[in-house]
Amino acid sequence: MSRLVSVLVILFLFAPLIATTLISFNATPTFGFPSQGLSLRWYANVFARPEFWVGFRHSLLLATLGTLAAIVISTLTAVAVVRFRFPGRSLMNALVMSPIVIPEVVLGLAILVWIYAVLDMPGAWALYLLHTILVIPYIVRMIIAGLQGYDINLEHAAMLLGASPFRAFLLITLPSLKDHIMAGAIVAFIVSLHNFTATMFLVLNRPTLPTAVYQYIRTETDPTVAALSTLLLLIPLSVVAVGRRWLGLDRMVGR
Amino acid sequence: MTARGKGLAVAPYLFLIPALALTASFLWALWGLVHESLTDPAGGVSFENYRRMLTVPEYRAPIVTSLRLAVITTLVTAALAYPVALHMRRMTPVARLTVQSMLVLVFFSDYLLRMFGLIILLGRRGLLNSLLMWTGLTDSPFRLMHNELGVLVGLVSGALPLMIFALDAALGRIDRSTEQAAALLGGSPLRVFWHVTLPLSVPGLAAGIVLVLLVTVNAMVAPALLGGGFVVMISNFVYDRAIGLDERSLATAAAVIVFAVVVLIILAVHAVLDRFALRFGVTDRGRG
Repeated sequence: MSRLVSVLVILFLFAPLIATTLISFNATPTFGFPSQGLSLRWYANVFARPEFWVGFRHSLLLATLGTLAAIVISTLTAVAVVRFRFPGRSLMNALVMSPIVIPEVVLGLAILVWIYAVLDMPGAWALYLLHTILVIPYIVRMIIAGLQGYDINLEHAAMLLGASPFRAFLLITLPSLKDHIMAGAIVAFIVSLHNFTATMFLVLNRPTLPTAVYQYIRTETDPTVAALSTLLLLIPLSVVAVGRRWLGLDRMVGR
Repeated sequence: MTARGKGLAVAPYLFLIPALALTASFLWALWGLVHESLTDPAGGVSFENYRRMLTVPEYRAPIVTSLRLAVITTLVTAALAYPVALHMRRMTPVARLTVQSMLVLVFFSDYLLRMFGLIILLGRRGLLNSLLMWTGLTDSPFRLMHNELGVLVGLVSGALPLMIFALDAALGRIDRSTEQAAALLGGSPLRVFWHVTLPLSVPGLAAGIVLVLLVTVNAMVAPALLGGGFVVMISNFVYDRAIGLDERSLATAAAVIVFAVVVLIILAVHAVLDRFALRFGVTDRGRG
């Protein structure tokens, strides 16, 4: 019984991905069955339409900058929260994790009406700020877990041998947190790359990949997006490959 | 980088400067959102936006729709995720890793593109309808989307991996010998599940419920694409009023209401969980 349900659930979850892949090779601009022949024209169209390439570059830039900023901020925060006892410690922990429970429309609209409109921050900056805020919880959680599981005696040993606390952290502790940072960074990068709802409030006239795709779906009905979608499956496929090989899948889904 | 002596009392705050700057910026923006929602056109304080949101049926409808769909989505995902998580527990490690990999693959593929995949499947001339008509099972297409059913399919498809991850993690922490003991004492598999496995997995269920409710309240793409304009959820309402119709102050009030609802839901789930923990001695301690 539970076996049957499991198979059906997996099938249900994969059906949209299978459908897009099948339709992406359709010769006609329809989503129907049976197929009228095979073609790669929609793949050619993905590269012929400038908005996807522009959006993709913008999304990559946002995800890279947001993730890098978040790694630096998260590492410092994790060190403070794990290594020190100070007033406001658990409040700080809760605050950096809080973006995960703030609805995206709330965050997007708040930044739009206040930071963008009142503070007059340039739109591009407001987007970087949004994406850094969005991804910080995923990284900070991972680094805190890494630091808690780390044997601090290694760092003490390095200091006994004459390293300054900073050098000991940089050369001994940080490298051993590599896997945790990587796992957090990958999840963060993808969260940023795929973010749609909050981003919609701040894209103005410079689309990201998801907002460009959304506009295309709203105005055109042909399998171009299916072709793009099939190409983009490379992203989750590489996450699974990297996750299984090095980082542990359990860690990536937040356990 | 360890705390040594009292001279370093200021050190943690130095480490926190970037995080404080960042959290201050979004807290300040949230305050700005509340401020905007309470400001009338003349610049005075007014609850008019909230009064309109809660009394005008047209404005209240998206909130009601969102809550209704969130509850149904949560029930459906929990009902579907339990059998899967239970089954995963009985698998060999290799098979289990395969299923986990498949779920991660779905989870980390683009949500928007998965919704597009559902359009291909459920559309009037989509795969399912054309397949049914080609095989002669029906003469006219079914209306599988552009209604609440289509949106619900999208919401469940989006939220299901989260619930499975949460339940799989919770079930993995249960000591098998507890269930074996119950079975040895004569409990039927159903009774063992109902009286032992289910209560012990409640912390995971609670985590899953919070996650599913959050993504469902967040949902903007699923109703926009699969609802075809017939289903307006709260996120669509906020976006349309703020960007499309330029009614920002109404949109800010709607956003504040969404936030309040989310916070209330989380508090309610935790309150129920605490009561439950007192009664059964189950806590979610040990979660990462």
